[in-house]
Amino acid sequence: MNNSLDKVQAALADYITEDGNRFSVTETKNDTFTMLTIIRDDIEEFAILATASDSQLLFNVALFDKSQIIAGQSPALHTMMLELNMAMPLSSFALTGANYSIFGAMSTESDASQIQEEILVLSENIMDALEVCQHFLIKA
Amino acid sequence: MGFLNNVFNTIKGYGNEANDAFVDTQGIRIMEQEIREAEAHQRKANESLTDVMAEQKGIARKVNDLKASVQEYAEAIGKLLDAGNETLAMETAEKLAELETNLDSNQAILDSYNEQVKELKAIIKDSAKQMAALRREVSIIKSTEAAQQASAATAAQFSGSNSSLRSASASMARIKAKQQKRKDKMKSARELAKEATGGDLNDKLAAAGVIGNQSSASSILDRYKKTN
Repeated sequence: MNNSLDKVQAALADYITEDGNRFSVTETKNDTFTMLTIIRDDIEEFAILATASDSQLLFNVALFDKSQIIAGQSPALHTMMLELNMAMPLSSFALTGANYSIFGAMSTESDASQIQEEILVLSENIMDALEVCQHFLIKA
Repeated sequence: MGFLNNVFNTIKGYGNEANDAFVDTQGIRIMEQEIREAEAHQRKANESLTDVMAEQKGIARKVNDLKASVQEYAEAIGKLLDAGNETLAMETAEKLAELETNLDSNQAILDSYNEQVKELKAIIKDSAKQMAALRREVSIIKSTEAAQQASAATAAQFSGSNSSLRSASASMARIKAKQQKRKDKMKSARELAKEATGGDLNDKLAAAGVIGNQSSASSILDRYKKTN
């Protein structure tokens, strides 16, 4: 399982996007799971969390939680998320507990360039996803 | 129950209770137990298959032997009748009747063994499919659990014991401002580089019509027209 996360770390080590962005990777281990926190240098506040099982790699970015949704707007937000899921490249919306996120999943057999593409596209989707969701969120 | 239904029932977190386990560990234990049972089932079916196939082979051999004997005695009866030896032909026919009865009962046993082999093979194939599906389910649930634990760990990291994340819209505004600043910086750097190489002044002079634009076919043609 950790081998797959090692592969992710190796794929991102010297990776610089066309726009000059880099990703920093930190590993967290405890008794029950290992995860990587991947941060794109211009979107520091939304970390990509990478976890792995025997067969798949999951990359998840928590966007906001239920408490930030304008009262009564959840159904409309959910409908929009379902409608947009197919259009969002390589990523999908998800709800984990109270946290809304976007995530991408891929096979542990994926190679470095596929991992880089997945993470780049997911990081590009963060701001797009927030932009479209902000109409349903309480303004800061 | 379908795959997603199982996953839905096994993964909690839909309730948003802070103290709830993320994944119903009992659910995973049940699935792991089901995998063990399916494995045991398959092992048993494999053992039975080996036994039944051994029996099947023995009976098949016996049926073949009996068929050969029946053929042999049937031909003998024909020859004896041709030779007019009716007494011996009758005796042979009695033996043939006995052999045919024996063949029929052994053929019935063989048919039943063939049927059992087919059934056991189907059971083995089904258990293998069931095990693969269960293993896939457990793997998906475990990876979802890991992702949930990872999100929870980060949520806690961002806001202490409170599980709510920082305000998304405030973060978005900050990031946008930062990205804009970065773009502006890059633009300024490009402009500075242009100034350093004199490109900027040339652009201004060209715009004022003091110096010509870069050579083009039409400007060259114009030049020739003026000189002639």
